[in-house]
Amino acid sequence: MYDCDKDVCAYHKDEVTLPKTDQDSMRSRRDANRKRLRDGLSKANDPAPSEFVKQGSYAMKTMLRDAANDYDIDDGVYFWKEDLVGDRGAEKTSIQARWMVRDAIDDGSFKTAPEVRSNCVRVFYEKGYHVDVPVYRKSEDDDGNMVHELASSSGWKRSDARDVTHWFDDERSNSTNGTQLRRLVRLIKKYAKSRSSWKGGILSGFGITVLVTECQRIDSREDQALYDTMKAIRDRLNWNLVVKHPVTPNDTITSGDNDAKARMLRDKLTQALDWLAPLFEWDCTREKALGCWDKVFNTTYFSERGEEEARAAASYAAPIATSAALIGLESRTSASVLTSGGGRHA
Amino acid sequence: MPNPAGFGELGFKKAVLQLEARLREALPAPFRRLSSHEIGATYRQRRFERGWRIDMLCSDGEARQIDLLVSPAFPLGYPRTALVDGPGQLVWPHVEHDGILCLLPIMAEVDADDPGSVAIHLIGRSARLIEDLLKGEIIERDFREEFLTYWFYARDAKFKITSIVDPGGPSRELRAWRDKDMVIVGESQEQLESWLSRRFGNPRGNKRFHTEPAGLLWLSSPPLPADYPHNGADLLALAKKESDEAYSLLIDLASKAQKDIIVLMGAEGRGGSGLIATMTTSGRKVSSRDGKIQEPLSKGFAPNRMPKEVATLRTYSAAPVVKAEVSRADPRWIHGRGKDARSMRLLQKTVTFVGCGSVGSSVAAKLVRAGVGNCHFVDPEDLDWPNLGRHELGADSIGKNKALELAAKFQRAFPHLAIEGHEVSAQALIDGYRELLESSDLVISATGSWSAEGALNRWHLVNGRKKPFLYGWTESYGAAGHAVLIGADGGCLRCGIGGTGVPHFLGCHWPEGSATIEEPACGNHFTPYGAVELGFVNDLISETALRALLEESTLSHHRIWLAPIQRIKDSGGAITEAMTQLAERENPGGQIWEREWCQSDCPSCSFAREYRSVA
Ligand SMILES: [Zn+2]
Repeated sequence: MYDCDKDVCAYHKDEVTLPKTDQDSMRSRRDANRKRLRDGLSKANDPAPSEFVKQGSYAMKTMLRDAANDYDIDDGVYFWKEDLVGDRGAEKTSIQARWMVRDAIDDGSFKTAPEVRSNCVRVFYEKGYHVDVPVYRKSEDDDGNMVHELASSSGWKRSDARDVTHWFDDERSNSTNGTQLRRLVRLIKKYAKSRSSWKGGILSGFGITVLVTECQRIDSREDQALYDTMKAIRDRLNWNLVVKHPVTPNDTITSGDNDAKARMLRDKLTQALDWLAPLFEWDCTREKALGCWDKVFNTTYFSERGEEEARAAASYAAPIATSAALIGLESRTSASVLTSGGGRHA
Repeated sequence: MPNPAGFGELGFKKAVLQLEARLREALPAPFRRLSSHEIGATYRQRRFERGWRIDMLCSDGEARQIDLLVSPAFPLGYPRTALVDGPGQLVWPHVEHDGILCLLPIMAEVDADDPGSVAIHLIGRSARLIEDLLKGEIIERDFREEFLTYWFYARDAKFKITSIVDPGGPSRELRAWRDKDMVIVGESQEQLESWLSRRFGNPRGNKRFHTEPAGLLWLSSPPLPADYPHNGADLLALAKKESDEAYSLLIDLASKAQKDIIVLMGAEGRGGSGLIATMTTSGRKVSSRDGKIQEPLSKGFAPNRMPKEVATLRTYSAAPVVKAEVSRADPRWIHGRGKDARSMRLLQKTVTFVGCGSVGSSVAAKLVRAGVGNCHFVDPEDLDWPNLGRHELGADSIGKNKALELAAKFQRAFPHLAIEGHEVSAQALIDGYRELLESSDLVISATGSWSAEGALNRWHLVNGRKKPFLYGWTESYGAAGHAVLIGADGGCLRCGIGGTGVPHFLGCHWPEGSATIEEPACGNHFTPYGAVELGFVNDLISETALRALLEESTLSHHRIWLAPIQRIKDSGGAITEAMTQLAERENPGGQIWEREWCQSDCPSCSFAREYRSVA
């Protein structure tokens, strides 16, 4: 396989992973949000949260850089069950809890007011991204175990997002190269998001995360690891399209045994492997190889690197062009310009 | 990045990549990317997204630089090039104020799939243009030949001037009319009044359109930018340099005018004659509220008693003149952008259209657009809803006379033509409008009525067949169209048509009968076809009419258009034996044939012979 290790690493660094500035602004926004919620709750004489727990790809650090700033971070808020009581001492329902949080966050400073969603409260920010705040209550059961319940559309439901984060941490430490594992997750998620027309039709980022941990092919070369992992996932999906939920027993991320989104991921991986086939030809050139990676990620990033190298290495015939030399270029390219137009009038 | 039309953001990036690689391969010397700050600062009013700078050693030993620039829509459209630190506005032709070069005409097309070659080609062209400019020969030539463009760049008036003036010499006095939306200049008070009342209707009561004196300086060669007048004195100097007539024209205008004077200037450029305009601003300020002159130039003198010398000095003073663009609305320009030699001949013609139905109205519309100068529409009927699908008129004319409505509509739209409607039948036309028929260069009848057209034919014969008559009709379902031109020689209309109006030569027949469908009313029949099918028929008749107006052919003839054969079959029809013989071979239809329209010593011919021998 033609070696594009450095290029794939560079692509990950420049285009895939979240830039530090975005991380910082996301964190400060999250903190402001937490403070806003705390203040709002105390102002309304509502119970104080017991803790906040970041979750999802934000917690797993597998988020992708997004040119449109469409970042979706999840930051769960936890309350003690005995605190969540409403009028006349009745226990707050799932929807009442979400409304309480929504009203507390909304201090009137938002352009778009926070909304109550089926499993969270959504807070919109100007630059296009939003923070989802799932609402949990916790209590001890008779055996002294901590029980976490999510305020969901179907009422209070046993769930704790921390379990997924812990699962991924475990996977990373069990891997021979936990940081490469995380990069592979990001790169394959990036591929799945590379065409806007695939949006909504392809397996979710969480599903991809599970498949990458399952099929990871760690390698000293980043491009090789990526190719092999893509191939391994494709083969795995050829054999079975079902993806199990990593922490909820008997739950699956896919639905049924012929899930359309998993199938789409499989087919698109096959396509990517086809696009990368020229890398295995004996006479593959660097230009060609970079073109293949551009095709996969639907970008010009790789070829631009090649062009930069070519520019740096270029040797020119003269320090300055004479007008005569430039005029000489005109006739050689005249087929590309037709001054009289195409002769089609309307 | 704002709106990357057509190829998308990725398409833009790919094209830029291809372009850069191409520059690297093709250019003999290094080039550099421009920063977005440089691009924004240098090309402030333009939307360029990327740019590159190329150093160039010119033949005069000086180093110059060419910028290559692309917009966000790239590779749609084409890259622009600029001469860095160019000489400024209107010093060199084809170089805009910010150095951008005009290399390609408006209709130029470039290969968006090969943006690298396009860019290289334009760099080559730019280098050649700059060398040509350095040699200097093209500077005056191009400034003069394309003077409308450079005047346009130099213009400073907020308004455009509309001209219905014939754009040619000599220098002469004109008249101008203005209101807050429009300034229009014409040859005379009469011409302007006629144009304005046709365009906008007559002024209320006994008011008239108020016009004022204006002038045309016809220049022996177009002015160079250096000669563009800045003030009144420059304008007068320009006229003086041109001719004594031009000079005295401006002097006369100064003493006649009550307001600032509009002076058109015209000359022959490469593409034909062109007009530009100036207006003095020497102080005849008009109040925007009541239109009265606030500070008359004649201040200190009794009305109309200001000496000529004083008027001249005050009018053509150091006060600036504004430069305005001229929109030509003269017939030569409207009908063929000054390039169609036929338009001036058609403008002299008079055509009478008898019958303004589905055929007549469309044929009339085409000939009006072709620029026939005098049109008369004749029809006794009112427009009804089922007419709409095949008529030039629409719902706003329902219940109104077809001829009058059609005339009113086209008169407003073509104020330089004379268009009249007459609400009379063909029979009444013959009785009461002999002069109209006699003065027409061509009478086009599309009534579909034998009683009307038989009568017209008899009048034509009796009157000696001095000018041609054209009869046009369609067969059922728009399956075939006919244009029969009756000239001075050959058959008359009746020679080829039976006593009850059935032509001897038919294109199609319907073996099953039923070529018409009855309406649920007594005696009303129609055949179903629409404006689309009819279009070919109307075009046949229109083209025959145009030929009759422009060519002196005197022999009667018959042109037939036949619909594509499948369409005829679909309507249950078949081609006649006669048509098959005319076509001579396997006939696909959709084509025009021509045949003679022979004399057959018909009843009408003998009637006319007797009538004329008695008279
Ligand atoms: Zn006859």
